[in-house]
Amino acid sequence: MEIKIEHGEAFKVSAKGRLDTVTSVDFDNAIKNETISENLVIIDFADIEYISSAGLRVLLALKRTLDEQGKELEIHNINAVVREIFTVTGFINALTIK
Amino acid sequence: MRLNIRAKIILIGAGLSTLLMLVAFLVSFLVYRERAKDTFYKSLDTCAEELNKFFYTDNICADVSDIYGYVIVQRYNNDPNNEQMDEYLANRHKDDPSVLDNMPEYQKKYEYYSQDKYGQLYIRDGKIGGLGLSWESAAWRSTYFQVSAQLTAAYAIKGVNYAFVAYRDADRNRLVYLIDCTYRLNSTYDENSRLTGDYVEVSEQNISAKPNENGYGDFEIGEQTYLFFDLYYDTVDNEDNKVHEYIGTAYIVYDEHSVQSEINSFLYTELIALFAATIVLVIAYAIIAYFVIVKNITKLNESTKSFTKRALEGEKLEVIDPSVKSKDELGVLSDSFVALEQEIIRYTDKIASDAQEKANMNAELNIATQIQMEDLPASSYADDKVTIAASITPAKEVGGDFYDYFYIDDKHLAVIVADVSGKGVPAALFMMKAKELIKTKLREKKALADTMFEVNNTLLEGNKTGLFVTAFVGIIDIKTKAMQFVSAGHERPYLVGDEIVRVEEDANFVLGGIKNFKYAVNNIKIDDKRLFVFTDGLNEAINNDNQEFDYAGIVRSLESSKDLGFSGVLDAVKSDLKDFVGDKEAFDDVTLLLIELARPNELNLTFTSPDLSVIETVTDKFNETFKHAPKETLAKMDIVIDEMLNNYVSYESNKQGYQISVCAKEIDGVLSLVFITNGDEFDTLSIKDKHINDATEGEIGGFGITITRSIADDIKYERKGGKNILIVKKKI
Repeated sequence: MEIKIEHGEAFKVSAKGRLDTVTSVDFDNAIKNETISENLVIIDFADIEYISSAGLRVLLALKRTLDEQGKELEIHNINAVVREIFTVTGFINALTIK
Repeated sequence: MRLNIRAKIILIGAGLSTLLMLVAFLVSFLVYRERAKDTFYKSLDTCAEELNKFFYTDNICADVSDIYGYVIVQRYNNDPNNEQMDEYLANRHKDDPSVLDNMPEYQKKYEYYSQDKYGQLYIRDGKIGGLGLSWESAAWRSTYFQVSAQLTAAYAIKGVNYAFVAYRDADRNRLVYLIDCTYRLNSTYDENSRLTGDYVEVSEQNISAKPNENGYGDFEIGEQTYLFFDLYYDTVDNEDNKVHEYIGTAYIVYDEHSVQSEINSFLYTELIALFAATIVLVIAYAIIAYFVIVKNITKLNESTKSFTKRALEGEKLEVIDPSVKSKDELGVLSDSFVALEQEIIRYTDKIASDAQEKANMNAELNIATQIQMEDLPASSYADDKVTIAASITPAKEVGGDFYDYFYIDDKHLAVIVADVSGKGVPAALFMMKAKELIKTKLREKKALADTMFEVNNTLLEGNKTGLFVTAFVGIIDIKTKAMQFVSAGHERPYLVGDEIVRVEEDANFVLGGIKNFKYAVNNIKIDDKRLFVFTDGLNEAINNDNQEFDYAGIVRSLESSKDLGFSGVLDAVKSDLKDFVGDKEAFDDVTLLLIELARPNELNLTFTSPDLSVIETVTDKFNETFKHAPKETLAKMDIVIDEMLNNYVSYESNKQGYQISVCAKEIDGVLSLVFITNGDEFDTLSIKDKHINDATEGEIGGFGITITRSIADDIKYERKGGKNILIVKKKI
């Protein structure tokens, strides 16, 4: 899984491929290895094919960490499959989707 | 109440002895009491007779009547002439007249009367009595003592209170004692003695009581019975006249009560003696019983217990001799016990050696079974052309069934399922021979009919045992998906597609049956169907109600396992069979073989002890196999694969020999994904859906089943043959 991280006004993460059991571990590690100084974290789902519950865990854990730090998390450019997963599990309400 | 034999023997002995004692006492009580009374009266008779006899002899003084007369005179006219007495006494004590001053009256009388040489006087209680006979008369003395001796004899009879001779003074109603019994007993007079001349007042009736014709009479005063008989002296006077002269009367005084108590006291003594004797008897009996019986029984008991204990604790057995030396039944029992022990030891040894022999034999049979099974190809096989699953369940340690499959060349696969008649080692040996023969002949690549012809004839050569084989022999053309086969007396196989069809064939006879038999070859198309070959152990399996599993059972089982992946079918059939027969023991081997030629739109993957990396393998292959399907559908099915495999690997794979099979296929526009695992029973669908409304809610995980359920158009779980099966269906 290709993961790209950009610092700037917002801390921006772009990944390509599936966010599943195996790749979500890499995804999680990639973010944890970075110091987030920005107040906004954006995860770009433009190239994410689908997400499984392992990916949801990583997102939820990240969201809780950022909430504690008073930082925002935004999810951008989700496709239909991801939207369906977010809807079924209620993540559509729990996360900021743009 | 539980008593040991010692207590029982002693109790029985004590009971019998007590009974015996009581009987003895009762008998003696009744007999003795009567006899004692008889003896008493007889003794009285004897005494009376002796006394009478005495008085009728001549040795008594002639002038007896005078004697008594004198006594009476002395006793009643004892008022002496005081002047004469004073004169006599003054004269007698003239040397010391002062003696007389303090002398009592009776002393004076005594001294006065005793001057008479014919009188014998005695003083008692101030009274004076005396016999008017001089002691110088030796005859009288003799008489006196002899009479006294007779009275003493009477007195000695138990129950007699007194015996005496008295003079019956009918004028004054008195009995005047003459001779009593006590002197002879005590050699002196005591307070019980009656002095001669003493008297008792008796009633007129008693004094005048007359003896009966036997000379006896009796009367009662209070409780005392006075037995009396008159004594006479018979002699002749000077003029030769017969004289029958009354002398006195002998009285023997007794009372019934004292006779009775005398007897009773004797009986009490006897009772105590009997009781003591009984105790001694019981103790002696117990001791004898102990040495004669109980000791031996105890010995037998101890030996038996000790022997049994050794047998139960599995110690080495050895003969334990109770050593009962007696020659009675117990001795015989002891000898028999020793003999029995020897037999048991002999049998135990024999059983042990038999068991060892059997264990060796079983070990050899197990090795034979192992060799037999190792000789069969793997129970599952898959390559890019074919997938094969096989199973063999022997009814005995060594069975006669076998299956085989092998490539004859690149394009031809041989499949054999066979059943040798008979069971056990002979069948197994014949099966090995048949299996190798068929394989060798098929590899010669002759026409199938010729191959079968040769196999049949070769098996018949020198086959004296009469064993034969039923066999399904098929050659599959991989490219055309067609099969030529010979079914030599074997069950026709099934083709499992959308429908389940039993293969039609030209029937053939068994291999090793008839020489030169010409086998007809059949041809069928397999295409994308599955070929299910089996032995008759399957359809002929019976349950406890003697019902056969039958072809209907096979069809049912194949039908219900249609949706399962390839690898689930044989397990499903075996599971259905097991449910059907229950605990009924199988009598025939069951061999199953399922074969499927590769199809583009189907995926069959099995992993043993998988890790998470299998997720990528499965999703990649799934996407490749069903690449014609819409991308979104594939993505969603990938998620399902990810969720389920993640679950299985995370929660179940720590079990040894853990396997996951994933089967996927497309039928009529529906993608079917089947997960089969051999983990502990767990219904994944029992997990509830999880849905959150904000990020702070609940655990961060646990959304897998919610996602899977939302993606699937149809989802179901079942537990079959010890496996968890989850089927997820989605329309394309």
